[in-house]
Amino acid sequence: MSQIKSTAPSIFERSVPGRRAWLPPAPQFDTSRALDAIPESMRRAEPPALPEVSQLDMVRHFNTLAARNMGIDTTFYPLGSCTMKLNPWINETMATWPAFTALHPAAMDDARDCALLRVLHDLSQWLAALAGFDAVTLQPAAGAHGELTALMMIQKMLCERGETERRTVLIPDTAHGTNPASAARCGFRVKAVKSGDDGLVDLDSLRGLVGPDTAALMITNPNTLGLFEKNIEEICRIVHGAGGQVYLDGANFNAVVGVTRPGDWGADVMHINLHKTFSTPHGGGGPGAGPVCVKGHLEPYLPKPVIAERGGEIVFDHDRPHSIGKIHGWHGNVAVAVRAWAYIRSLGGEGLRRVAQMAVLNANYLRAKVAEFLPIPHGKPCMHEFVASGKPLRAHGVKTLDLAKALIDEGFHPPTIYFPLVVDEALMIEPTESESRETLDAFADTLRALCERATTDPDSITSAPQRAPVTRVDEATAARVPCLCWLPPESE
Amino acid sequence: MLTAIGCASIDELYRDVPEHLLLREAPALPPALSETDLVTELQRLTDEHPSDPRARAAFPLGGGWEPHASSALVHRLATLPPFLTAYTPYQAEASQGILQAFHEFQTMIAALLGCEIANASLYDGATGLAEAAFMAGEITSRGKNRRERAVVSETVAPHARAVMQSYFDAAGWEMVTIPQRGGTSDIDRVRDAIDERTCALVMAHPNFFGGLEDLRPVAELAHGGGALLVAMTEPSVLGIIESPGAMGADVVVADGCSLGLTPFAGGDTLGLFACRKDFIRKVPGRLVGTTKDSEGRRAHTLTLQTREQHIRREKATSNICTNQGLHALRAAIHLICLGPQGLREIGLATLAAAQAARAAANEMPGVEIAFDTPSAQSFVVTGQSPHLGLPLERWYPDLTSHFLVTASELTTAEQVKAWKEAVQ
Repeated sequence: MSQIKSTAPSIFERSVPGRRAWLPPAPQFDTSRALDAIPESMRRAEPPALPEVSQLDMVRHFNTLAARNMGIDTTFYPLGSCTMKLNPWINETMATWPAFTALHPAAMDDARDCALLRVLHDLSQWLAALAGFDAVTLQPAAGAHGELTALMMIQKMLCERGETERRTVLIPDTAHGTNPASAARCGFRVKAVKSGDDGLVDLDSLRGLVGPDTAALMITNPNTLGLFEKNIEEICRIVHGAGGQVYLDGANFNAVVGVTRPGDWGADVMHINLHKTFSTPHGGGGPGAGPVCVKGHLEPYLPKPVIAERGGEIVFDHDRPHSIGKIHGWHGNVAVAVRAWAYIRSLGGEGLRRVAQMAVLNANYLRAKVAEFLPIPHGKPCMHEFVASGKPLRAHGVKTLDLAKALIDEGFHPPTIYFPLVVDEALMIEPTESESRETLDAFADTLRALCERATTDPDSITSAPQRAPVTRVDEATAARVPCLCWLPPESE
Repeated sequence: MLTAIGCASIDELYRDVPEHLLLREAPALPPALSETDLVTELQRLTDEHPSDPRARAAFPLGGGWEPHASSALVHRLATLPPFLTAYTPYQAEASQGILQAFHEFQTMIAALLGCEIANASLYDGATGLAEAAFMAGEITSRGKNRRERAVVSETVAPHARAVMQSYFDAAGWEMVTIPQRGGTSDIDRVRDAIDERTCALVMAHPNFFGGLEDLRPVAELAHGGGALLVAMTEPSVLGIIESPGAMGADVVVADGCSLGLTPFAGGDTLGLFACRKDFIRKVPGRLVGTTKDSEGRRAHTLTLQTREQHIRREKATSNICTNQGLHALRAAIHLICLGPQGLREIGLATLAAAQAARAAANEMPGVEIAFDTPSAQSFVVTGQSPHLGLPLERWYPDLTSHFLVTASELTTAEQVKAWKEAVQ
């Protein structure tokens, strides 16, 4: 980032009436009487207050904003559970091919064997093979959307089986917040499963919670502490024994892709984040994609239409009487699917296995370095990430939040902080396979230096950042007096 | 690196995985390809599996998924690496650029849809509609008097209604669909359908058939029954057509595909979501607000996060986390390219093209304009030729031999002529 301690003008402040950044195409038909057919009451009374800027001003505006932002392309970005790996540019370019971009969604419903269907079919098959499941839907637009889709399918299956008393979803206390939120959207009750001191699901706690009301367990493996739930088979047996389904949150699939398959662990259904494990860019928060993989018994409930092979041709199958219905307007974020197809095709099976291994190697290497100066409460080896605690710095008046902001000054994006909740002052660090040893060393050295400085010169940490576009942002005021739209100065 | 860890091999790092669960070999996938070979492979695939020319999104196919003109700058600026490769901006000080862009997006979307506030996007218009209905339920329910029922006009885009139905089925909420009449909403039946359990009346303007629906009286109907008016719309014509918000809709949702994105089989869109300011604490999805930094500079941050799943867990207003951030950025850049004048120009060009197509349809033997309501970008014809447009029967079983025709600012006289010839 450049733009240290500065304010970027709003695009509305750059606006001067009459200026234009771009001209739309010349009208193809005479527009002079076009409004006549629109009743007066239906005509727009006030034009929307869009900015009016020259093209150069617009270009400078967005380049200025870009310089006020960190991305994986500019900065090490060890944001835990977010898998900030390299986003190959070639995949971006392939997702702009007219063979894909020009397709009409409704016309696609009846399409036969076109390249996009081939790509979607390939991707579905490959994801099923990698995760060890029987069938896949690509409709969910993000991980949380995948969770919701999976729970809808479980709910529908239970309903058809007459097991409507199964209204409880069990979720470990280390889970992402989307898990309970998705369960609530389906009307399920949520019960938390405690983690043991080792950071793993406590089997006795689980045994005590399952029962005739259990619809499902939602479990993340590797979990958000970066640990592999080594009892995963027993966990599945306990839940299945009580008649429940096991939902596997695949947010952390990057640690194990090509090494072991969640389908073999006993899970019934799983979502995968294409924008994590399969390298599609996060774009500042999407678009992502959250395909859901299922075992055969859940296959009838997949959202429709389903990609199918008929006589050697790939088509959409709409005849799905047990389906939960549609969960995306059309076929999901298929532009993201094209990128993930390209990623898998680039690496092959051996390459993907290597991805997981290098991600785990990088995480353990960085873990060993960080463990020299910060406590890491949970065991080793870790998988793709680990969670350190900034608790010792509290004695010097320094919080994990301060440490995170100080990392920004040093040119690093901070790790995920204060999550999972079971670790005090948590710093959740995920380096991914993309980073070199030199980068990991530089990050560890910087973090060590900051922790040392926290003891000798804590003010320099608590006053960070000082070399970012803004100093510490007052989030409390933003929430107390919410201002979601730009307002002209006189009305502020 | 293994030495630093104190391990002899990579395999040792996986010692918590039960041994019988470890794959002995890498998964059987097609072999790895270099970048050059990857391009060749995709070229081969697209050459060998061409799409049916009739599956191309071009006049007369549309319904919100027609191509639109946009500047090369949309792609150029949105894919600047710090935007393209950033995560959700949890760390405000490291993310001022994209936060400000989202804030500008929210400002423009609120203005465009005629509302006071907008969020930073949802997955698509269809899921946005479901979220809007759930929000209406939370807002209109009073204690134990829950309102978990929505009345939906059949003139709302059918794929969006289908998604809303799935969401409602899962939540155990009731969705009542009021059949269309003459291409517009049947207001008498809508009036009768609103009851004390109804949280939302869901309409569209322009509707899926392109028809303009006066939302002012239905807003009164909804409000009189204690419900909210949720409206779907088409952003590309809002430079000339009155916005749903200005007509009284409490929540407005739309697909933003026409704002600098591509049809892409419906997989390159974003959900626009705008509403009244007093709903601010019930809104689903990310919100960006302004504040100050510790030295008094204007700064931006994600705000009201206590609505969200990572804080509230099962009590969150929605389960949404990742949204369509980069597409929100694209839409913002596109709207700046247009400006108020450009938005009006493409609106007028679209209207003129639709009227020219209507005139052409009038000259086609055996083809009739189905509905005589005023319309904007789309209209419905009846006839026998499959080339007429998007067949409606799949969604409206009683509309046999009805086709949706959609024009845009890109529709040419040649396209209209070719259409006429293909039909005849």
